[in-house]
Parts: sequence; structure tokens; C-alpha cells
Amino acid sequence: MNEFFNMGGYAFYVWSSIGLFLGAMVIDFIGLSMKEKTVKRNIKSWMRRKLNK
Amino acid sequence: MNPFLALVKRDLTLGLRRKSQIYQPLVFQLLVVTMFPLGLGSGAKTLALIAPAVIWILALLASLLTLDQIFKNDYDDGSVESYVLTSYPLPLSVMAKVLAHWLLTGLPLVLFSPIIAVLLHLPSSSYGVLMLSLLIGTPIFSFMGSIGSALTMSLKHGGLLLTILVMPLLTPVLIFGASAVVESSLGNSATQPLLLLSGLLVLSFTLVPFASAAAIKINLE
Amino acid sequence: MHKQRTNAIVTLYHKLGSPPSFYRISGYFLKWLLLLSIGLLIWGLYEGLVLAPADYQQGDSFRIIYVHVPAAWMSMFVYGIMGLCGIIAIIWRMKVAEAVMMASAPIGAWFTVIALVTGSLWGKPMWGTWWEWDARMTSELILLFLYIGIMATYSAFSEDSRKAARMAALIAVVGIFNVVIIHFSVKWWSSIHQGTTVSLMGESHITWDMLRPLLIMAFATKFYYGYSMLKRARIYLLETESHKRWVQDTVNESNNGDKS
Repeated sequence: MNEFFNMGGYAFYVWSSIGLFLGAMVIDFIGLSMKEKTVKRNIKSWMRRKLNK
Repeated sequence: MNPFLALVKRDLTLGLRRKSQIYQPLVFQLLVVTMFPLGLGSGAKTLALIAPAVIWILALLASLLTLDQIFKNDYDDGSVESYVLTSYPLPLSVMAKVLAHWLLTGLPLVLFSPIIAVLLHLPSSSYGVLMLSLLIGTPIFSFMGSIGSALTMSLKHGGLLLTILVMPLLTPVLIFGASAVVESSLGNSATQPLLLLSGLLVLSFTLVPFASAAAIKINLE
Repeated sequence: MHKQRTNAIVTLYHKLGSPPSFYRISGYFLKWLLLLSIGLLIWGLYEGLVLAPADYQQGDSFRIIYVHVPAAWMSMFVYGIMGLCGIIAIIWRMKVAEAVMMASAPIGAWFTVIALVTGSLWGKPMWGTWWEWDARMTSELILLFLYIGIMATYSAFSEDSRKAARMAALIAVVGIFNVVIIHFSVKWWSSIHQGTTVSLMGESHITWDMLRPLLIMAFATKFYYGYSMLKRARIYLLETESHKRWVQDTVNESNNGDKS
């Protein structure tokens, strides 16, 4: 197991590459979900204001 | 008079009235060239080594200073709309604008380049190739710049956006232009890069006016 | 028979071309694309990091290939899609093509950044430097500038999203031609000025055990792109058509769905 994480002495390079790759996707995913929520909320509040007028 | 020549003549008369547009890029070049030996602090050898790259990058930067002017003034005074509305094909009007812009800003850069070359200790045997490569390369700057200028003409501060858009597109010109000068300063034949550079000029001459015309039409919608 | 088939294709085209049906149809795919990409990612990384044998020259550092190369492939694939959508957006003024194009830009730029940084992380142990001006890395960097230019153009004209999208489309189309020229000119340049740099992909013979995880990862990134692009395109359509009826219905529907 230790050997696996050591990556033949290249641990830093290999694991930071993998981490960056997965991290970028996770950030993209979370950012998208948050953006969808805010956009829907904005549209809703805009509709409510229009109804109240 | 032929509408093409009429447009070129009009732009040249207007341009010659605004002389700052012509001499300021040259002053800019001279200023930056002065910074190089001061910054490097080393002798003539290093200067001569980096001279081809420096001259070409300076030509690129000096062109970028004026590229937004190709359509900006015409947009502000509304004459861009007349190019679209007349029966004369828009790509040809674009070509006339580019030609006038190159005569006003590109050609002076070409003629001025030996002075820069002297200051940077470029071997005098490669002056010919330097001027020839700039003569082929600087029109490409104006052509590609016309796309950027047509896109950004309606923006108040479009200069930086234009630089971001146009500079990556100009990397091939820089590559071939600078390496033509490098090859000739090493005593080799510069035919291959010069031919490739001419190929780029033919491509941009035939394709870019259509792209710029499309950009103008989108921008005026 | 023949006529019917063309009709079906034309109908599909029109359906995908109208924002409400695009929104509805893409909704069916989102979950599956995400699940597929996560599944393939886990499988591909497991095969690549654990099962695949170490390279006889590069040792375990070659395993960076399993994220570097798929990301580099995606950076070009996504740009190709953007150019295609750009042509459609300019000629037929199809709103969905604009949405797909603008939705592709951020994820394509992400993949380009990943390709650049992982390339640098691979270059350090192999070349001894974080950055080498070799042909691949240089053209990848210029590709990133093109992505940035497209997004910057869109945001500069943000008051009018249709105009902004068509402007960005024009840059994408011009860029398509230029990417090819830039790629070959950079290759030409590095062949003259650099002598031979060690290519990251090496001469070493790649075995099926090493190649399979690479292909799995390539599919995983494609599916993730599909998810991210569709999701972003949907948000884009909601935002730019917010005054339209179907958006308001959709938003209300999802609200009820949340409550029940």
C-alpha cells in the first residue's frame, strides 16, 4: 500500500496531477450546481416582483 | 473614381492630418530599444543575438498600438454604416481600410527598421532580409488587426481586448518573421521562412476581409 | 419511407433547435452522463494507477499520462465543437448552438489548464524543468489564450447576449483556422531551433495494459464534458430567456418538485 502511494519516488508529481484533475472537475461540478440554484432563485424573485406590481 | 481608391485616398488624407498616429509608434519603438541595452547591461554580442526577436516583437507591439484605429474613428462618426449600406462589397471596403492603415503605420515601421537594427548591432548583411520579412509580415498584422478592430469598435475601452484576441493569432507571423532574420544573421538561407510568411500573407489577404466584414455586420446589429 | 425518415431528422433538428425542447430533452441525459463519467473515472484511474505496469524508462511518473493526455485531447475536442457551433450560430443564428458554444468554453479552458499544469508536473521529473518550450506545450498555451479571448469577447458585450455570442462565435471560427496554422508553425519552429527534446510520450512501446486505461479516461472526460456542457447550456438558456413563458413554467415546476 505504501509503495502504491510512493509511486516509485514520483509521489508528489503523480498525486498532484491526479488531484488537480479531480479537483478541477469537483469545482466545476459544485460551481454549476450553485449557479443553477442562484439563477432559478433570481428568476423566481423577478417573477414575484412582476406579479406584485 | 473607383470606390476602392477613393476610400484609400480619403483615409490617407485623414491619416496624414493626424500625424501622431504615424510617428508615435516609431518613438515607442525607439524608447523600448533604448531600454534593452540598459536592462541587459552586457555587451554587443548579447544584443546582436536577441536583435531579430526584439525587432520583430517591437514591430508587433507598435502595430498593436494603432490597430484599434482601423475602424474605431469610422464607427464613431458613423461612416462604417455607409460601407455596409452602399452597393460596394464590404470585404473590398475592408481591404481598402487595411491597405490605408498599413501605408500609414506598417510601411513606416519597415522603413524605420534599419535604424533599430543598427542600435541592436544586427549584422548589416541581414538588413535586406529584415526589411523584406517586415514588408511581408506587417500587412498580416493589419489584416488580422482588422478583425479585432471590427469586433471591438463599438466598445469604449476595447484596446486590451483587441490585444488579447489578436496576439495569439499573430504567433505564426512572429515565428516565421523572426526566424528568417535569425537564419540570415547566421549566414544561412532565409528562403523557407520567407516563403511560409508569404503564404500567411496570401491566406490573410483572401480570407480575413470576409471575417472582418462579418464582424462589422454583427457589431452594427 | 425515405421521406418519412428525413422528416424525423428535420423534426429532431427543429426540436433541438428550440430552447424549451432542448432544455427538456437534455434533462433526461444529465444524470446518466454524470454517472457514466464518474464510473469510468474510477475504473480508469484504478486501472491506470494500480493495474497498469510501470514504464521501463519513466517508472511510475508516466502514470501522469492518464490525466494529461485525456485533458489535452479534450482541450482540442472541445475547441472543435466550439468552432462547429460557431459556424452554425453565425450562418443559421441558432440560439441553442450559441448556448452550446458558450457552455463549452469554460470546461474547455479548464481542460487546457489541466493539460498545461500536469504537463509541467510531468516535465519536472523527465526534463528537469517545470516548463519546456516544446511544440505541444507551446501550442497548448496559445490554445488557452484563444479560450480566454472567446470568453473575454462574450463578457465585453454582455448587455446583448445574442450579439455577444455571435461575436464570440466569429472569434471561435477564426480561431479554428488559426489553431491549425499555429500548430504547424510551432512544430516547424521547434524542429529548427530546439534540436531534439525528449518527447513526453516517449518512443517507448506502449502496451495494451497501458493503453486501455487511457482510452477509458478519454471516454470519462468526454462524458463529463457532456454533463458539464449540457448543464451550463441549460443555465445559459434560463438566464438569457428569463422573460419567456417556458422558463417561468420550468422554474415553477422545479420549485414544486423540491417541495413534494
